[in-house]
Amino acid sequence: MRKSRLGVGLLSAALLAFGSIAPAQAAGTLTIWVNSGDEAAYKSASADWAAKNGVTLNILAKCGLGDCGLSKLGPAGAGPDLFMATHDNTGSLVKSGVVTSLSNVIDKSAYPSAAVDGVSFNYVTWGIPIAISNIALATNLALVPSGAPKDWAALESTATNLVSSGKANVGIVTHIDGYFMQPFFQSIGGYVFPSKNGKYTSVRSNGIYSKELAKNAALMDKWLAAKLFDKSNTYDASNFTNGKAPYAVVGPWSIDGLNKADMKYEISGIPSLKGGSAKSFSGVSAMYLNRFSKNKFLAKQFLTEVVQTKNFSKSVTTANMSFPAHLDAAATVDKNSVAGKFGAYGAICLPMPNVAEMNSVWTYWNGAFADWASGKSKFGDAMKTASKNLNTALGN
Amino acid sequence: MRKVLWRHIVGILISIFALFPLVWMVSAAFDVTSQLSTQKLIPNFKGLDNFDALFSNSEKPYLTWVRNSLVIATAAALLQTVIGALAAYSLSRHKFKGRRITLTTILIVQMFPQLLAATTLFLIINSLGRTFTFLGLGHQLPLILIFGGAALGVNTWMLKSFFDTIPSEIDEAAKIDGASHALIFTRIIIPLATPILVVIFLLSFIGILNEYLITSVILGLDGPSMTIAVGLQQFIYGSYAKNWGPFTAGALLATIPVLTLFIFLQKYLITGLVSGSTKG
Amino acid sequence: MRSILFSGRSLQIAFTGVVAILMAFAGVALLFDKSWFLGIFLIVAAALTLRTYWTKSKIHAKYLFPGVALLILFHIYPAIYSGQVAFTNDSNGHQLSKAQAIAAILEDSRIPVEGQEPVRYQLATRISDGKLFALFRYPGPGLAAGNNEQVLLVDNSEVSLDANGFLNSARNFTLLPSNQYSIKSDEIQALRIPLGSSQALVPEDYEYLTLFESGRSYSEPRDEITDIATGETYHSNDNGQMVSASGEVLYPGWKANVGFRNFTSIFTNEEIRRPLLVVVVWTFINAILVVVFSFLMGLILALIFNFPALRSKRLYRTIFITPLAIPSVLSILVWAGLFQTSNGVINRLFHSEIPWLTDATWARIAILVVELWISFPYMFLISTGAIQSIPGEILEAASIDGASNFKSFTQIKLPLVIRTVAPLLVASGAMALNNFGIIYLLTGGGPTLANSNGNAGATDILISYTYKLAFNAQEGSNYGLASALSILNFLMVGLISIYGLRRIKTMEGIN
Repeated sequence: MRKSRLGVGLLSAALLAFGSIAPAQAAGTLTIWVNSGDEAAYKSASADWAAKNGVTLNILAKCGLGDCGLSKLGPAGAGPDLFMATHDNTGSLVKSGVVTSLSNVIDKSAYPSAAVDGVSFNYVTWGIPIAISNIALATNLALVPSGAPKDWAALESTATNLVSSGKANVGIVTHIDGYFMQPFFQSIGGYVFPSKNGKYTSVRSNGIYSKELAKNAALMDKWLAAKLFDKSNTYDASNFTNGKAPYAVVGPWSIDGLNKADMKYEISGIPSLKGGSAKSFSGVSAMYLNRFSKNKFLAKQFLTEVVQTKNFSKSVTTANMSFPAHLDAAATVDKNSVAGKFGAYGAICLPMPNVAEMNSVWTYWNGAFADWASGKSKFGDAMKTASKNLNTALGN
Repeated sequence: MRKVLWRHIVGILISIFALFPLVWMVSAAFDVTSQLSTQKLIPNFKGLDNFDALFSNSEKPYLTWVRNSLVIATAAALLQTVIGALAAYSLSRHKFKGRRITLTTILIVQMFPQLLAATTLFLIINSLGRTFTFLGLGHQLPLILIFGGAALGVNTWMLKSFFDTIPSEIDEAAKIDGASHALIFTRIIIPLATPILVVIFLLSFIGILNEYLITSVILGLDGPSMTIAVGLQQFIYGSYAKNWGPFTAGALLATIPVLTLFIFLQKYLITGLVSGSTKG
Repeated sequence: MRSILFSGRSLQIAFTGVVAILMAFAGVALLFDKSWFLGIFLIVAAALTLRTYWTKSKIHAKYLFPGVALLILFHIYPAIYSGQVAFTNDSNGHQLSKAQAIAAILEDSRIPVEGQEPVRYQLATRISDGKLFALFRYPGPGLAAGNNEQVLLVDNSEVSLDANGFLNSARNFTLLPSNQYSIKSDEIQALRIPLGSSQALVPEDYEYLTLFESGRSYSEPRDEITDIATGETYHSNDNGQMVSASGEVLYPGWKANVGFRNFTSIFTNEEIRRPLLVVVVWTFINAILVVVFSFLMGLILALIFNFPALRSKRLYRTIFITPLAIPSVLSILVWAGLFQTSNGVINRLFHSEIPWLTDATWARIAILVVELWISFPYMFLISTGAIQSIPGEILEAASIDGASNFKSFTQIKLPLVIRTVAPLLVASGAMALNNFGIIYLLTGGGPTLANSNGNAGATDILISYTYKLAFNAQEGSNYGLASALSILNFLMVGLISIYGLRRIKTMEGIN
């Protein structure tokens, strides 16, 4: 009996004690989600500002899985204040209601208009661009001493000659999916959604099986048969690094591996069948503001004073080898460096559509490429089916 | 002689099957070009770069991961074993109302996959963390408790079957001697059950060491918080930038302690797993 | 003896007391935080802890309490919570509450008023009721104090200014020092000072208010959003969205209860149903094949290597259980690398070009091979244990009776072994039905099935298909549907397991 009374007493004491302790409000704290591997770069680029303003920055790595539960955590008040995402997520982020407008924060003149378009939706800007990344063509200089191909004809003939003579296993090392094959797709007349001057105009129709593509579809089958592309649809970098393939489609993430493999290569744009360069997809990585953040003013101050500066853009992109979106920072990149070459090609690339419907696009489009590569159907048929299914799925 | 020879042949063939990935992991760990699929059997050995990458990367601190994994797995496996033993003993000895239902419920409840529940667990720990920081996200204690929540399951059933084989006369005799139920449990029953307890601990330990999803959700992806399973994934995350060298090196190192445990506890494993089912 | 007992009991009381206090503390804090279930659970758990361990209550409760408490908190509650998601339309664009969604729609429709300069403000709390107000000077009316509910005119005589023209005191108000503004950032962010019917002053930062014009307004009694410029009206539909008569949808939507719609759509929606059938069939086939093959393999190896004259038994046994020693998340990824079609180790060894992971049939074979690799060690161990536990007398008696080796095996050893391991086989079967890890890591669900909207693959089992729907699906995640599928999955596995356990009980008589 004595013990239970003691227990009740202790419990009440605890409750009273609690009443006097208020949970601390995180006044000068910002939580920022960045891509895994970028934490150090962001920390060092913002350390000065944080110290000067007495702000604690929690820079954490994102989980990399979908939207990392942001659409659940945000509304529950448990999400970050700011987070990184690639611009093609803008549409679905807006649709889910977890981001808030940054139209009165962004300085549009500091970025290329394509980048601003990428992070805008419904005439509102939702993110601050930080880096632009795109794929490019890498040429194995041991196999192709003349360097990057001047045009498509040169690429095609070099590749087919090397393959037919047995010196190479495949012409171009690449993944066979929408993102990687976009330049080739575009050069034969395909497109995802209609666009004008870089702005997407509608999702009511798609150009996955456009008239021009239908006419040129047989070319893709011819190139696959000539082993220009690898029908096993595996990205075998060793073919490229061991001199068994003259070309590879690479991204900034591949450079480390290429350098380690001790080989000479050159980065250039991907030539188009129609002349000039083919338009690959460019991706803008940007920072967004959580609508349910409790520290919006501080976050906006951070965006204005840190993220939108040339130095910030320069230092984080140097660290992760992407190309800065900030125009002033971009101007300082050495044109002949690898990053510079990526950037030069990226300048003429097309930002991926940022509408939420892109999820459906990838599904059908990638499926069509897989079917074509594995030999299940011809290129034209595969794309025709994908285009039709996509229209149905989008309710067109 | 012939009777043994063909057994050796079978043994060698199966050994090749069992060790197949391990052999290639060893090659890849010592190879410098970080490609797994095109790995040659004899690695292109230019030094212990991959292992260096493991130990000297401040964003990916392997040794910290090892420590985290060991702490979490040991504590959680211990918790699971203790909880399981307590519950199993009660289910075996105490004939209380609803005993049957409890046992069946325990088995069935464990079958609900925790995949989708990961988000809820995240929200729970997040809420707890606002009151007690050490129970919040990024800390090991809540993760250990979550694993404790998974303690009651098939293992409990195995333990109960084992306890059933210990005659209750032993309990009676001790009670007559004046021992309390706690004493009977700790001083008499537990020592008798050591083999199976070791097995349960080992299986739990390995299971928790392997666990990836909930661990990454609760601990987050901050370099120093990760466990081995979560951390090594970072080397090969994303289809385009796989870094197999450090990955296989780390996986190899992670295998050694578990393998050692297996070698020494082999006897327990073999007898322990079925000890509850045999009717002596 | 007595002293040991005494200290044991008081340890028990002290420890459980401390735990109870911590739980109660946390429970109250959580209630303040509006986490209702957690708060109540912890308080009840604290009370129960004291009752179970401090009083002389039922003994079995003392043993079962920790396990059951943790089970409820971290297993049953999350399961039920995520289960109830199945009755909502939780998916991309439907994750906010209705109030949040409407607030977001209204907020996004606000346009800054052209030509209106930002207005300087200072914060103060009203002395009479402590409510927060923003004090500002607006062209026309002059000095005013406003918050979301009201705007009051303030006479110049009621305030005093400092040298820079900022307020430093006001009658009826206590000015907030500027270094305390950030503590109230939450409240300040939410300020909307109404001016006129559709305009409001909103803080842009800690110094200025901006005048906004609302593009839309919401009427709660009519549950209707009106577009002020066009007059278009929007009402709720049954899918958690605001829709106009012409079908235009406003984003974001909210999470709405849809009853059994997710469940029925599994059967009525052909896009979901078509691949689902294939997936379920493969789930069962996969589980059966894995259990049968790995058990046969384990059993045969156990018989072969139980031979007394074989001296390297221990070595072989250790090698055989190696697959269990490598963390599975890592070994399976290694297998995926080895199975690569061109230049993959396996294809190189056999000089073949087999599309292991990209062809449906071969992918299934690859899955089975890897599952076999991971499962046979366990089967080997339990078979060895079962064989070793067969009492020697039975075997002797058999051979005295003149039974041949084969007969001794099939009629005596085999039934005994199976009876011994049967429950473990049932448990293995249940796990095989839910074996997410191997499928996801090796093939990601397999080469995509043709008619499946790219969600289902040839090697997908129900749980991996569900996972894809939850995290990767077409229009973003569909947690509602995934939750419904996981409930069905749970029912399926649960019922089969109960059936299996019942059969075992009848097999071996009464437990």
